[in-house]
Amino acid sequence: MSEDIGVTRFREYLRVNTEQPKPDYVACRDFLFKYADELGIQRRAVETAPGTFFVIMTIPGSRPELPAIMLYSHTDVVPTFREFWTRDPYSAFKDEQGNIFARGAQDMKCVGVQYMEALRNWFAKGVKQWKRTIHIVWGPDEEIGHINGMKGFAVTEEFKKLNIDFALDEGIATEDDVYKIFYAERIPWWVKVTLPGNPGHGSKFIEQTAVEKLHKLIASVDEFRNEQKALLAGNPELTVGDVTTSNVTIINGGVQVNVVPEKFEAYIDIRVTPLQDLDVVRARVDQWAKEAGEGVTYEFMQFSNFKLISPSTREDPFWAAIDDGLKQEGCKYKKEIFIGATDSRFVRAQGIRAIGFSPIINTPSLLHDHNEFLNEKTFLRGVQIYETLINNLANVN
Amino acid sequence: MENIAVTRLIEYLKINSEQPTPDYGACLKFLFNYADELGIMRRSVETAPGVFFIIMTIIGSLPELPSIMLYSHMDTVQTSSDWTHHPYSGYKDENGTIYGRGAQDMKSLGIQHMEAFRNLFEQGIKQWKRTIHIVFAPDEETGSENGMKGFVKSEEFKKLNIGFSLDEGGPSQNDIYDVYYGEKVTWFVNVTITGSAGHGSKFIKNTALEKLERLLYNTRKFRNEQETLMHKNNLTLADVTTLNVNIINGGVLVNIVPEKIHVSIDMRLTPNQDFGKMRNCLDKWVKDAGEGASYQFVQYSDFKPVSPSTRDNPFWAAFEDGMKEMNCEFNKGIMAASTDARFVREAGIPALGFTPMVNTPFLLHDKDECLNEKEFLKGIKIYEALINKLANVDG
Repeated sequence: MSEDIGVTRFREYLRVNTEQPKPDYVACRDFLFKYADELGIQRRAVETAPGTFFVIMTIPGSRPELPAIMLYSHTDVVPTFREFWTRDPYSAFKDEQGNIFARGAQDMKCVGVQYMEALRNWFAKGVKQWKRTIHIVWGPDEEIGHINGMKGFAVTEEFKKLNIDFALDEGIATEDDVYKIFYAERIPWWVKVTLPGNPGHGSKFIEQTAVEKLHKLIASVDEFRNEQKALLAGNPELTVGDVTTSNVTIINGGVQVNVVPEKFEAYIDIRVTPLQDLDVVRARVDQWAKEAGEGVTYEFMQFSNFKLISPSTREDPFWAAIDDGLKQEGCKYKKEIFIGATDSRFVRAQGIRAIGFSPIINTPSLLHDHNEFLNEKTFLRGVQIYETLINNLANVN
Repeated sequence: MENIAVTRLIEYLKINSEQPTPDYGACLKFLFNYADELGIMRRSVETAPGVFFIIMTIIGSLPELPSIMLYSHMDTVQTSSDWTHHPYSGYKDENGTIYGRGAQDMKSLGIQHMEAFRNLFEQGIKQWKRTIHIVFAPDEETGSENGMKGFVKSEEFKKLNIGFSLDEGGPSQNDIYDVYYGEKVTWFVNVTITGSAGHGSKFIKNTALEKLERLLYNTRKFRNEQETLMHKNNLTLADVTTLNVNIINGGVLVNIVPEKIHVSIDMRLTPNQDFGKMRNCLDKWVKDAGEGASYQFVQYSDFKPVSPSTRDNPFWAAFEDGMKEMNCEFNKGIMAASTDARFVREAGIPALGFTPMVNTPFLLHDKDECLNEKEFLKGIKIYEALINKLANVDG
């Protein structure tokens, strides 16, 4: 039995090395242009920086005045450590069980190809147009949150002209058989705290030192972390996306062992759940700095006041379209808040609905990990699901 | 007219013996001339190319008795660029205050030793029971093997047969002299903490950070207990153990929980502390931090550098008597800092740290280090009395 064309295209795409920090976006664009041409879909590129491209493929709708649907995927992938992979992460090796190993197999080259293959199947059945225009958009630099990617593109005229009302983006794999649908994300707040203190000779008792303040800061962040963990533990319905996490991830201070330093710096990675009052959480961060001690200040390296939530009840026609589609496909699903960050946050910040979905079940979640893989059967099942979803979404009145 | 002692001091202060490139050659030349001027036998021992000990010897009438060492170091610590007068210009103001790096630490003491002998010789006293070695050492400020640290282990040093040493103390800001019979011990500890790494958006168990927190908690608790002890019992820094966590480094990316954190700790142990117990504490703190935390010493000693400070020791009694004769009130204690006396003590030789300066601001390692010539000249007289007592202690 020969390999499904979709699987072949998937493996070809996986072999294009778009690994950060040196993704080959030119080869990627060329592959995607060829793919669009094969399916007869209009395609163009928008260069956001020399050698960095968005590729936009468009199927005009019969009612082009209606806002469009965006089928979004990012083209870059995270770094690999070759010594930990059984096979070259860019060989797209497929074993006898049909497992395809490559960086991007789950995150998220599969989704881009599944969109295309769903459309191929519709075209083959003679369906070549829907009410709404469909834009299949391929974005760069999602993994590094760069301004050359969706972060910058979402605020441009170019993007506005696409007139998008609803977007599909990435979700995550699950080991059980219940698909995860993400309607919201936690908001990343990255905080840099500067803790000044009295310096002096290492042989003395010095008051109000920087390290003393650092200790208090760490304890405060830990106290908050434990409160949030308790919330999670107290309710089995909740997932990590429903609470706020906080991790002190970088600490630097001191140069000589016999000198009490005048400053420490600490960085904190906070992911705020949109279910909580952002002002209350912000006030908590203020409190950490205040309680740490005199002179302690902080700044946000990344911050947003936007609660990135999209509608997830049947009152919203797009959600209803998805609900219907998954039911039609007999898919069990659960709606959740994403624990990490995706490009959906930039789309939602523009007031556009976005739903994160990767049709991967019965598979361990290996994004950013070694030996990332996806089974071809799971991949092909996903194509079927997208056929139904795209059809429903692009026909919303 | 300037006293010859002050002239010699200013000459010596002008020699740039500042670390890390001290001019020991110039020191040697100066000190050899000085010894010749006073008619004292002198020689040098080269411990490394261009690095010398200068040893001047006055043989005793009972040369078989262990000798007395009057010790001083020639090198000085670095100076900043914000001195009022150049630190090696030997500037003296109208009040007779002499400015220079080494004015307190400790070139003035070396000159005071020599000038004490000039005066004693003029008084007709030219020999004592015990042999006296006036020793000028290199590299005290860097604690190097080329200085006293290595020299005490040598045959050359053993041949000096030293039975007692006078080393540096520090200036007193009131009118009571300070003499030190012991020192604190320095431990530098590097702790490496490892834990589970992962994405910054998760709850991760057993992180390096949570282990760091436990370590900080335990070390802080100890530090505070020592500080409270000091205040409650009206003690000094020398009587308690200080602990400072001075370096912490961990993490590279803000969205990644790091798997490793490095910590460096500076501990100064009072010799009153049980070192074994302290070691056990350190073991416990690191163990409590969690699996994956370990430590090693960058600097360590389990030797307590303490010398006798009661009258049943004849050298202490001689010191006391000398100070009494000069009507000098003094406090005895443990020094909070480190000197070369620790190497001498470790070799089994009693030593006292004494700087004959009162009513003088503490300017060791600071800018505008200075000493008033009246105080300097008074110190010479004190040494005359001490030499007479110490070098005549019966065998």
